[in-house]
Amino acid sequence: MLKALALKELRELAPIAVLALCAYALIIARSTGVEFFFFQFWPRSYNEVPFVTDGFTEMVVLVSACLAVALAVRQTIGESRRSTWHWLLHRPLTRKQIIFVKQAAGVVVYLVCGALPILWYAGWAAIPRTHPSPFYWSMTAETWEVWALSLSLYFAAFLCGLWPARSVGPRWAPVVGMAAAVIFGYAMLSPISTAAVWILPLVLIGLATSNIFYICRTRDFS
Amino acid sequence: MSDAIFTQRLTKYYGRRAVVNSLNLRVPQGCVYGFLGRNGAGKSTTIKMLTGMVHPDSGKAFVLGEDVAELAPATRGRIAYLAEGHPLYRWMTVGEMARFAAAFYANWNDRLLEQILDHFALPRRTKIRRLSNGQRAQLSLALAVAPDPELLILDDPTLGLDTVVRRDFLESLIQLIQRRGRTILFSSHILGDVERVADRIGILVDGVLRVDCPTDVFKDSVRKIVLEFGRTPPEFPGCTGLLSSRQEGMALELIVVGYGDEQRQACEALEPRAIDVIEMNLEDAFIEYTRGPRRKLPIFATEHRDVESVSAQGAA
Repeated sequence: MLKALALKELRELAPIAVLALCAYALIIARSTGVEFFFFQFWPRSYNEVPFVTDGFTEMVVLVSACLAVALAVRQTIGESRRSTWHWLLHRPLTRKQIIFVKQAAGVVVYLVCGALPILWYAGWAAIPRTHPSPFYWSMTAETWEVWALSLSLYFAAFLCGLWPARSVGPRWAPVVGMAAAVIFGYAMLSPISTAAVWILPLVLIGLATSNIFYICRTRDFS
Repeated sequence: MSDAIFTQRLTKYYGRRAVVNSLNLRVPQGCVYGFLGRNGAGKSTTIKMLTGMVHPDSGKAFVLGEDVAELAPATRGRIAYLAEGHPLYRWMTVGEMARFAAAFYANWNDRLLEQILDHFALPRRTKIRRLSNGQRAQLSLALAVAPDPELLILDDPTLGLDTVVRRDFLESLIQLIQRRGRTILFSSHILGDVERVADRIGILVDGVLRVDCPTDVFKDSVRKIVLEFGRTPPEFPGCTGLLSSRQEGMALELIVVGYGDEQRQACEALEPRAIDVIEMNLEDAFIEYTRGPRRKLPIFATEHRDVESVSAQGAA
């Protein structure tokens, strides 16, 4: 039954995944110098260094953040809007199991959608004579790091979707708070230690997850 | 006989308003219970509390002998719940939805599902978003029944269905009821449906359970009394169990719960030309019983009802 639920979640998330992959493909196409009429407004300079000065990381983070929020919203507010929580929560599963499977599906989609383009671009950059600059795999570290940190927005948005807030402002407070904490933490701690960057987001993800399970158990699905 | 549903002073507040107030409900096993009330009376909230979707502010609810607050998944699997509006995944086809639902139950009866889908002529390859409201209700019922539940809780299942579909839906429901003494609790606004199906009714008025008795007892107890006068009718002085009195030309129409000797004597004291005691159907009785202005209502609370004693509880 968990497999059926996971498959249902993956099918529901597929359209969002396809959109995200299209956005990633556009970023890769631009970064690898594919000629496309759209890129005349956004040209690639020949002195750009992959992952370092080409803006790839920033663009990937932007798309990943949007993907994380969209996945969580689809999985929570999507169920509320269609009133299907009533159907789903009445299945012979615990609420914890339902939420866990949902989150597992969301995280898998996020990771696969984001990892593939980064690997693709890194693979391209690693091929000699594709660009006039040196390439070391360590140059991708920052991209992997901020992409992984963006996953924290998924948990914050999931919490928002379950949060029984009446107005828009309070509802989105966890996403805004998480984004601010991750950006602040990254800016302050990344010069000191890579490991330190993870402390705050991991604590916040833990808090968000425990809140998600608590809210799911105690809130009214009316 | 044990109770399939049992609540103890179940209460729910939305803001400062008690939408369900100290509800003590008992639905015996094998009973078809019609849960009635006007809009906002608290029916849906009660049903959501019984299925664990809404948490009560106080009181307890037990379903199939288990506290709803700690309902085990296995027990949940023995309960079918049709939520209002029949929410289903509209992007799925009928077949996909059936397979998805089947994955959750060990005792899923695929043959029964096939029979019901064939009966309703629901094509397996059609997307649920392409189904009409009636077809979605039929699919919901089919999916609810396929795991062979002991208890069905239906929240206004015929809402929005046309007369023919509604009749068909109810016929199917009646067939399903006849299988191995299932318990069914269903809310509805369509009293004709309730009258055909339910053997016991409960009426919620402003969150308070005012009626809990066999359907026939309720129907037999509420009577319209028409007092014919050859002149302008006098004011009715009142009697035990009087719900309303109104003047209609040269007649006085009274709605009375538990028409007996005391009420007859009160009517005769006005010296009318004639007294007609008219039986009412469930719908008329319900309307007369629940319509405003708000007043203290007589309470039906006993199965072996004594009209006199019940009437004595009420005051017009």
